[in-house]
Amino acid sequence: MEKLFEKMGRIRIIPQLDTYPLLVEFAKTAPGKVALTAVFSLFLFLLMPSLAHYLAPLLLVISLLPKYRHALVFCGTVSLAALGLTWLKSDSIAGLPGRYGLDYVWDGWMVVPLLVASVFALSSLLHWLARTGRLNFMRGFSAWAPFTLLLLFGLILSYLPMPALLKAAGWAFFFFWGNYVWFQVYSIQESRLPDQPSMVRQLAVYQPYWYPSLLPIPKGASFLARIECRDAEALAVCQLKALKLIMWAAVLNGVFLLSEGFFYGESVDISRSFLLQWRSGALHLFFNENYLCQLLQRDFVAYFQPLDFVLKIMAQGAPAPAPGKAIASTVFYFLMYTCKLAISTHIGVAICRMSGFYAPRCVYRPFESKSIADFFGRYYYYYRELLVTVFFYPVFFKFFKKQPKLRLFVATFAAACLGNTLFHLLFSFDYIVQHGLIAAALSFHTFAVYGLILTVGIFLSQLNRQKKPPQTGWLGSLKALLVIVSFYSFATIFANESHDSIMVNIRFLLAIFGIG
Amino acid sequence: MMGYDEIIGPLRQKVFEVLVNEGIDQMPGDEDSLVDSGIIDSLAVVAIAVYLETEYGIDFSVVLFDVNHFESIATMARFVESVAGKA
Repeated sequence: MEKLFEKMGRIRIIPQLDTYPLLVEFAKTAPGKVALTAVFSLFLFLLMPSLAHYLAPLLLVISLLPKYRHALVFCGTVSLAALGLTWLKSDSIAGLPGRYGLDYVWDGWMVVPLLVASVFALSSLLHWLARTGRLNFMRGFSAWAPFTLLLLFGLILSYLPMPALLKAAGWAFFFFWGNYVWFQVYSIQESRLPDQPSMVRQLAVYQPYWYPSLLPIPKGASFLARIECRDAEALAVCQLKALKLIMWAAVLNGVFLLSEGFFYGESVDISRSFLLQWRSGALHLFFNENYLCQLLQRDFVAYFQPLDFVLKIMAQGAPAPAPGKAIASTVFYFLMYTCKLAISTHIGVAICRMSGFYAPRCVYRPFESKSIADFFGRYYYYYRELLVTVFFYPVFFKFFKKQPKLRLFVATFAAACLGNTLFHLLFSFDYIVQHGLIAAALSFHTFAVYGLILTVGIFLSQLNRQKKPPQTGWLGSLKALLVIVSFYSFATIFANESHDSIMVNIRFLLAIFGIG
Repeated sequence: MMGYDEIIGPLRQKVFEVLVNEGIDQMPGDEDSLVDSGIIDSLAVVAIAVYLETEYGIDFSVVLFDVNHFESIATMARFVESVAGKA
């Protein structure tokens, strides 16, 4: 059995392109770079058609002119944002004036660049304050300054009376700031490093073109400087690894679509599902809230339904599913989510690698994890790094030094519950504008419970890790896999970003045990 | 004041202990990358940091914790040499 597992581990779906000396040599030459970028762009077009036409020429120029890499990365990121090609579009804020009784919409071409420039100016100011020691009064928590200020700003906008135009403009700025806040956190975090890159280089990786999202991938500018390819050989290997990764993302995408089609009842219409994805692109699909709407419109003939769909219809009064279907919905939803996360982040990391930075994968063999804590890092590496760096470390090294277990628990809570909930709350922009920040935070209680469950699981897992090394062999791996899948599937029931009551999630949980 | 050579021996031992807990039974070289290469994760770094707190009295709320100081065994030893007794 041991040997069988070993053999299975050695099976490679994607060839090890970066280990072929001839290919590496070819990738160093100009025709090689053109060919490599062309093949990479084909996969990019398959997975992310909405951005491929923009990114392909950019990647080619960066490949051919590595000396100007940083300037090109800056231009790429800024133009992507300014042209409204990321999800930071004027659509998100167009309706704000109307909400406050003003009879016009913000859809002009200058709105997005203006807001991005304002956030960049604020980021530079915050960084200067940190760099010159003016945030030292926060005593090890200076990296918390951006989101503390953002939350204060949100409170003022929510509850302080002010002219309609000011309020609308304020919320527009809040939305854009919220999308950049975790990048500002990294800039401040790194500001005490003696070799921190210039502010321009930092802004170049604020919502970078390879992964424009709230989560900084791969961390801040200092980390990017450490993983930069220094010579032609390193660049060739890195770009071949990028090609491998995007090929793997394409394979996973196929598996995802087939599984979704088969289990969620789209098996008769896989082509439609494929076309939908083709049109919107995997990255867009992942972040697009319309995804749920698409699900809601489907005529389900499924073996079981996606967890978020079931919770949504239960909130509208539908009965809970039978235990078998409830378990299947939960476990499959967790597996599909992991797959979806792998696809979107693999694309982002692959583009980053093509740009000459050898970024580690965000999702790396998650089901080979040895424990619950280990899984969190393998399944969402950059997110775990953000939470650990910003929340875990400062709390751990500040409080309860004499009580090791309490110290570990509180620091884990700060990261897995507090930081995690705050990060996800910022996605609920519309809800915050509509109901105010406090009401939005309170309505996010279900997700906070998820954070608490995660805290307990990771805390116990870390304690266990301190006591004994993980079990090895296929039996040990199988046991670890069962614990991980069971725990995270269970936790996923509460990882619900809707603002419905937690009673829906509890009813669903009880349904798993055949109660209610 | 402790010197680099006095610090690095026990530190190697501690890192190896942490690695064994992670299921890795190979001793890395003193200059080998541990964090960026993914050999140890940010939570394993905490175990080493706690050891430095206990053994060398380093207060990371004063010195300010920076994961870059844990990049390799040699980096850690140089860091301890520079701050031990000061914080």
